[in-house]
Amino acid sequence: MAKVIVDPVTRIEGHLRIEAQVDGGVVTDAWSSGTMFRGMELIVQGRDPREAWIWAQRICGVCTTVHAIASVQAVEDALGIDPPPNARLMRNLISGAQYIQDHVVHFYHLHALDWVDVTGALTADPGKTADLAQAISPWALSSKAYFTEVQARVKALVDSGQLSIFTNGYWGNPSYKLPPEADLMAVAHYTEALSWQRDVIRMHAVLGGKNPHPQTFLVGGMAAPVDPNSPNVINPERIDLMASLVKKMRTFVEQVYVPDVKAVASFYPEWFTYGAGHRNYLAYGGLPNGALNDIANYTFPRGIILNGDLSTVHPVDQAKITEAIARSYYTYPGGDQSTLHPYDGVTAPKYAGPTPPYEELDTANKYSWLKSPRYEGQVMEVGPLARMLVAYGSGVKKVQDLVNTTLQELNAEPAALFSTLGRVAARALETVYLLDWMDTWLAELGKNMNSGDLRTADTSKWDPSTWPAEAQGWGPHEAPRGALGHWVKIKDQKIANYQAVVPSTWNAGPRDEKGQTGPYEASLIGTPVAVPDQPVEILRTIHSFDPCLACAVHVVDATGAEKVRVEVR
Amino acid sequence: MTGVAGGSPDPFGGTGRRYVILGLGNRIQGDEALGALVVERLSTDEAEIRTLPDPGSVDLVDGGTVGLALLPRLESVDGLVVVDLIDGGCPPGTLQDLDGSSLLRRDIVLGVHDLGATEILATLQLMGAMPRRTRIVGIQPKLVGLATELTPEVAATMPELVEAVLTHLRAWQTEDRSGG
Repeated sequence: MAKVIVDPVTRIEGHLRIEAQVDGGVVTDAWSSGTMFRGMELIVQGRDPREAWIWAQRICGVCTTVHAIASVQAVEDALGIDPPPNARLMRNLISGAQYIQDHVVHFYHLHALDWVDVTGALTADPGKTADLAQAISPWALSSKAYFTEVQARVKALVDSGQLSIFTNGYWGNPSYKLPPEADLMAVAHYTEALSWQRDVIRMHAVLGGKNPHPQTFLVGGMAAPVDPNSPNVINPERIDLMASLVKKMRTFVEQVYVPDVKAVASFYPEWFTYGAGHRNYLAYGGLPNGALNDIANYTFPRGIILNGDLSTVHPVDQAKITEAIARSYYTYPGGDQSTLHPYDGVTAPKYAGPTPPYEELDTANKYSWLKSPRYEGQVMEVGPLARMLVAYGSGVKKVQDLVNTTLQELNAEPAALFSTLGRVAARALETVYLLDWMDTWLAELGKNMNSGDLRTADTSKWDPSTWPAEAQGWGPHEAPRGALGHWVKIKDQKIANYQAVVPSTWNAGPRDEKGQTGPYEASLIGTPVAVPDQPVEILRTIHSFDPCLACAVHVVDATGAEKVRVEVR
Repeated sequence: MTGVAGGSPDPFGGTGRRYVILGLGNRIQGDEALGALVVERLSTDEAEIRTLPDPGSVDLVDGGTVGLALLPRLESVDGLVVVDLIDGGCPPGTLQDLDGSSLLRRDIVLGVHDLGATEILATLQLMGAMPRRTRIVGIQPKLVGLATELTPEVAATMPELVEAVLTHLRAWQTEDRSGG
């Protein structure tokens, strides 16, 4: 029997710790812990609600934009403001660019090395790699000479003794199954994606003035003027520039990302059977194509799938969301067994874990800085898989076609979606789904501009004297990592209470007052671990959720252990 | 790329050469603030940068925690000086000045940034976009933990550190000007 501890889990960003019990080569129990406190809620308390987004956006430096959008929507909901179409379109374009860039970065830079052995690339035959690449995609960078050059660069890096960017790869582990040629192809695309992502995210600079953390959000719309006759605003030239960026997104996604996901998946069919967890999925839905609360016209529908039953999509009532703290480092006025809706949420930190440096968390009691969000008391997974399943169950034709075609190609049943690789596949399909929407939104923005609709904000309620004495609202959004909600209570023109319930809290939260495991914890049970001190299998499943604990927990820890620490006892 | 604090790439009118001073640091982590403070000092008072032969070609970058987004400003530049804490097991306040390639082998940088100097350099190497020259200049920290001031030992070494940074740039720019 071995206890495997991985801390931190996230590659490049985040602060998550997993403790797993491994018996006979299989995970039998697991605990997920956020190891840092966030506390953004306390910072915005008492501030002007119109500026909350500026603070909230800083919750994360990777998934920028999402907290700004959730925040302005929460205030708009409270004050009864509906932003004009151009604002909605620009927000959707910013969100779509965020998804597309983030999903590709996740696959190559945060997740691929769980499947790809970098050192395997050294033994690849560049000629055969070219054959493989050309067989699965028309992508131009696929010659023998190119792969020879990439291989030389990898060799130089390995020879320098420094594989630090690939820190938590377990080179040579028997659970790596790709042929060396696929390893080399994936490593080449890893480096290409680095350049690609920095180009396409310029969309945020065009619409938001800068990246990361665009600065044009506004309660009531967007502070980005649209005018066909002005050189320094959103004009036909900028729209052409954005169209070229979307084209660049499409080419890479269709010719590199999606073929690579399918190629990797084809060598790991068993990973369509591991990693499911509770099989409950929640999507708030989002990226509206009509009024803010017109959920029938959301790009991603709102709904809940229970127990993996795709035949019924249950409605979502935000009033049924609660957060538990029984196993979290917080106190509630009503005690540890009580739960609170976010409107009445309380952020009262009280660390109750072991004194650092410690060996193990006290998993029998409190062990995480994350709370445990629940819907009607039930555990919910959020993210691309939840969105695609809810869209599939809701009858979104395009999503159904994408999913069905992929399942056929992989010779898999819909149940295969409830798995580690199901999450990876859903993320790729969602990216494809969004490409067409990007074209649509850009075209609409251009059409509005040409027809003289230049409105980008409704400022009729900008003046606080127009507000009621008390108001409350929620801002539901779908961040790349899943359902994100901000809740705000406004009293006397100031924020009286604020709570953000973020995707990684839904997914990575600890057990609740009833002892129910969180999604990460449940998903690990039953996962095989070939070599306990190289728990690459645990990373595969946890990384499939795209953990980014910066938003779930924030403010920096002491002497940041940047290296993955794996301890086995 | 925009959004990284620091001077504009070419405030004085440059020569086409590109040099970067990259400060890595977290301002609420005691000595961890070092890199950010060096960049702030050089941007606030330009007098020190103006002593260089080619001040217009120097890009001052406060790396913050933006990680991979830094890469475009570093790819294939003529010279890169990374300012970061360096844990070499020396007494606190000791100045350390390392070649970039030695760092790639030694992995001794300490820090809580999301992407440290070693990771950035390794990524540039993999992309085939390593700067022509790289130095890592830093100070042995005394305290990395919640605090908004440098410890006296590290603060006292700051002037020496800034001079070490400028010395590298001066040498590189002189070499490049003479057709190097």
